[in-house]
Amino acid sequence: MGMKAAVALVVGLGASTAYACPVCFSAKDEAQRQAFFDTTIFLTLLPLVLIGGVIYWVARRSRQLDAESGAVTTPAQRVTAVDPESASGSLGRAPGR
Amino acid sequence: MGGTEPEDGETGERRVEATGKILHLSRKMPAARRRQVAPNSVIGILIFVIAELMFFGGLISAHTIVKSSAIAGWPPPGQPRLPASETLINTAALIISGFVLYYARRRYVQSAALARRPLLIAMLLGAFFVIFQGVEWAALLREGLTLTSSTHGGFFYLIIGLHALHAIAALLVLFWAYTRLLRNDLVLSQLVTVEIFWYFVVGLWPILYWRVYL
Repeated sequence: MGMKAAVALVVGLGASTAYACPVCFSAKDEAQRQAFFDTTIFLTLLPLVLIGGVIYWVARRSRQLDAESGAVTTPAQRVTAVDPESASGSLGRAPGR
Repeated sequence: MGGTEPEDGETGERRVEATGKILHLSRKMPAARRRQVAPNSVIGILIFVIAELMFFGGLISAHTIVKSSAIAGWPPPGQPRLPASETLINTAALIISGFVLYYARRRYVQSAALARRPLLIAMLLGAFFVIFQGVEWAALLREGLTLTSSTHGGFFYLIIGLHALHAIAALLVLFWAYTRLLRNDLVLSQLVTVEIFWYFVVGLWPILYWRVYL
């Protein structure tokens, strides 16, 4: 146990810092550091905004089509009465058939 | 209550027996909801535009980093300055072409024949932009700005050149749409697809102008 703790201590103290983005810390001055920061934010947000925009547009278009065709259904409308004799399919069949 | 309420786990449907009737409580989506929200061509061009925007985003980011790390200033010494004020003219032409194309689609919805003139004007404005860019490039080449003269030149011809290639491709597609319109063979989804491509070219340009020219 003591040996393991000693090894862990040596490894822990001997390890150097690992940066998530090594490039960002190689900036020579403030302008370059700011450029790294800005472009990181930009490239992170760009795909999220683009894909989010398309998803929003598709959802809005879908609602618009629903409204145009009057196909918006409420849960109450989805409850449909089926006569047991004429019903087909496993769910429509009366129990015991 | 006396009624049984068996649950069918596989289909997600549930039936309720009451007063001699079986009630179906369907959790399935109604068939009417399974429809196309947009034509395939529109979805296709949107995916293409998103990919291209990411591509240009990478180029702009690289340009920003290189520009910020230029020790001797930007543009580098001995390299010509980009003609920002002259380029404002073709920037205006390109932006106006976007509005004219929007107007063309509005007219098309009323009558296909009404869209002919605005579509032609949008195309001519786009052609003016491309030709003006070509003239500008010729002048810059004479002044010594080439693809290999500096990182300034390399980025300029890469970013602005790729945008010009997209502008030429979009112009060709606009021309294709125009010829179909003349034959009364253009459908709305085709016009919208072309429109999105052109808006991409138009909308990207002010960002490139701001980052590269200013």
